[in-house]
Amino acid sequence: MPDEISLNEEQKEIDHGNSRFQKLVEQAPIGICIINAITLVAEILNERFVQVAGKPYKTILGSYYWDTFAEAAPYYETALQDVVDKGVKFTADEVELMLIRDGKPDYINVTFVYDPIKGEDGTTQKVAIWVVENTERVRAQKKIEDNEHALRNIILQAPVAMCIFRGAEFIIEIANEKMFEFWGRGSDDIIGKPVFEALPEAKNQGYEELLSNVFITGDSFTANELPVVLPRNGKRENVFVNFSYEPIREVDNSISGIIAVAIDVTKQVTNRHNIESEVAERTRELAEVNQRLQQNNKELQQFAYIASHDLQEPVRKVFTYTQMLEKNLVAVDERSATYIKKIAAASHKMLALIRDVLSFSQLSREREQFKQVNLADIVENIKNDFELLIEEKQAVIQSKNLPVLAAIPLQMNQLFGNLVSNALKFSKKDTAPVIEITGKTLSKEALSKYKDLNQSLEYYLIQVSDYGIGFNQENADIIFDIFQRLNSTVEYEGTGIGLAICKKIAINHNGNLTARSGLNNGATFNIFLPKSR
Amino acid sequence: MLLYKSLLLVDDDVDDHEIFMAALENISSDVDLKTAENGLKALQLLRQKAVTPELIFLDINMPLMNGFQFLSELKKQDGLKDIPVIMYSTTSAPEAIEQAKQTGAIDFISKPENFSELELVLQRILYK
Repeated sequence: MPDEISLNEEQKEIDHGNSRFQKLVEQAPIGICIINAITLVAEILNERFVQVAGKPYKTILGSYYWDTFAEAAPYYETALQDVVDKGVKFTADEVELMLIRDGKPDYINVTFVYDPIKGEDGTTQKVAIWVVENTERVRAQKKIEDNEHALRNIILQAPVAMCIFRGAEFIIEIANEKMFEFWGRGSDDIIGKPVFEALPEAKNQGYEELLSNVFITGDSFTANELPVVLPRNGKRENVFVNFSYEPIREVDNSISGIIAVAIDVTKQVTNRHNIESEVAERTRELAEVNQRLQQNNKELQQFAYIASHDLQEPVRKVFTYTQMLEKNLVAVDERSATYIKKIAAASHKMLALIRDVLSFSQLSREREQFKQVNLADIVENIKNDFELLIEEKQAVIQSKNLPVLAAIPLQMNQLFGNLVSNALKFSKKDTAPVIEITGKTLSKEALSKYKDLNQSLEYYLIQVSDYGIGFNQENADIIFDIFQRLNSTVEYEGTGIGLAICKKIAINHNGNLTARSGLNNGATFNIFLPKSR
Repeated sequence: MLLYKSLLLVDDDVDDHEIFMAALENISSDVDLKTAENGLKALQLLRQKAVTPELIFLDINMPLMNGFQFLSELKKQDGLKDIPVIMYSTTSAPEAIEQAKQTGAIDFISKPENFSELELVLQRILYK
């Protein structure tokens, strides 16, 4: 029977077609449910649809659609009917929907379509329901929107000037009060306009490049304490501003805009400027005072020099004439003789004092005459100067390791001369004085112990030692005070300036002078002198 | 043995003439002492042969022509340049001593404050 066979073949084709169709539906990436247009019973559906529906396959398949999706019925039953009646597709785009999924209410976001499938006669036979769940994407999007909303609020309420530029044209999307103040404009003229259109005065000051750079490279930009002139309170005010441009990045990391922040730092800048100018003022005052002091010093020195120099003459004469008087007076009663002796002694002392004061006052003057001085030569000179006294006392002066260094030759003479003179003077009676003068380089370690010395220089230590009467170590500091004596003038002649002069010379040379001693145990004077200036 | 029989003291201070003379008298009666108030006067006297000293004591600070100026001049003159000169001054500044040596003085004496010391110094210089 040919009709039966062809019927079977047709049927097979239909079945084959159906199964192909079935496969398509199964594998579709969107949820598909095909319902009968009359009965609204679900005839075909796929796994994706089941997922979105959140109800079991068996429940949906073969059931009345609005039984299955009762919770959605109030909203979409009419729309579906419309599709059936009018044959026009219905689309719900990104709609929020409450569905009972897995037994629980779920708020989801879906996009679905009721698509009429018409028969040959043009009537709607079936309705295909295509559905895609957007929930995640929509939620993320919502989050972004919420964030942006929050950002807007933050910006509006921020205590610093802030605004957002959007896009390559830097359209002013949002700006807060402080920023309007900053720009000297009201919000009406500005929002929604590209910044250089809204603020033409900002053109050609480098801001175009700055903004573009941030927009393109994504590198933020900050500038500190920029001076700006703002129209404020009807006047033009000079303010200082810290401002920064930060790129705004989208979810995909592209840059969509720039957020600008400007902080008024005028107060701290003006404060700092005030402090700076005060410091400059004080420094200037100090420099002035210093100069006056130096001038004073110079005048004092000159005075001391002149006074002592001119005083020397008459005093010398008093002394000399007193002696001549002594010699000349043939018969002198004892009292007169004593008086004359007293005059002689006093004027002698006066002379010595004046000489020493003169010497002391001169010390700082000779700054310019630094030369390379061989200390061994200096000591030789001194041995010559004191030749008579050395012979008289049978003294021995030994020197060793004395360096060559940068110094004022005359002052070195004075320094060593005074020390040797003291050593000879304060020797033990009936003992031939032995004076040792030795030099050595001070190691960096040793140098660090002497806080008074310049730690960046290299120093020699020259020691002048004797075995004389010494002094109590307690007095080791005060012996360098001017006019300070430890012994009476009767026993040991002297004005008490000698050591003060020595110390001043050492300090003049950026060095120092200290002493170590014990009563009856001799003394060692430590002279610290730098190798060079 | 007396080394110098005639001396010239060039010094503007008359008191120092007196002191010097007094000290000299105590040392020797054989020594003749002439004085001049400043370098210029001294040069005149020397050129005119009004004085013929074997040793000159020379002060530094004098008006019209000071000690160093005098000494330089002296050293230029034949017949005068060989007369030994000892600087005799109140100053003991090393610069002065140096300059004295450079200019040709044979010695430098600070005017002693001590009369006896002056006598000793003169003794040392005048006698061998």
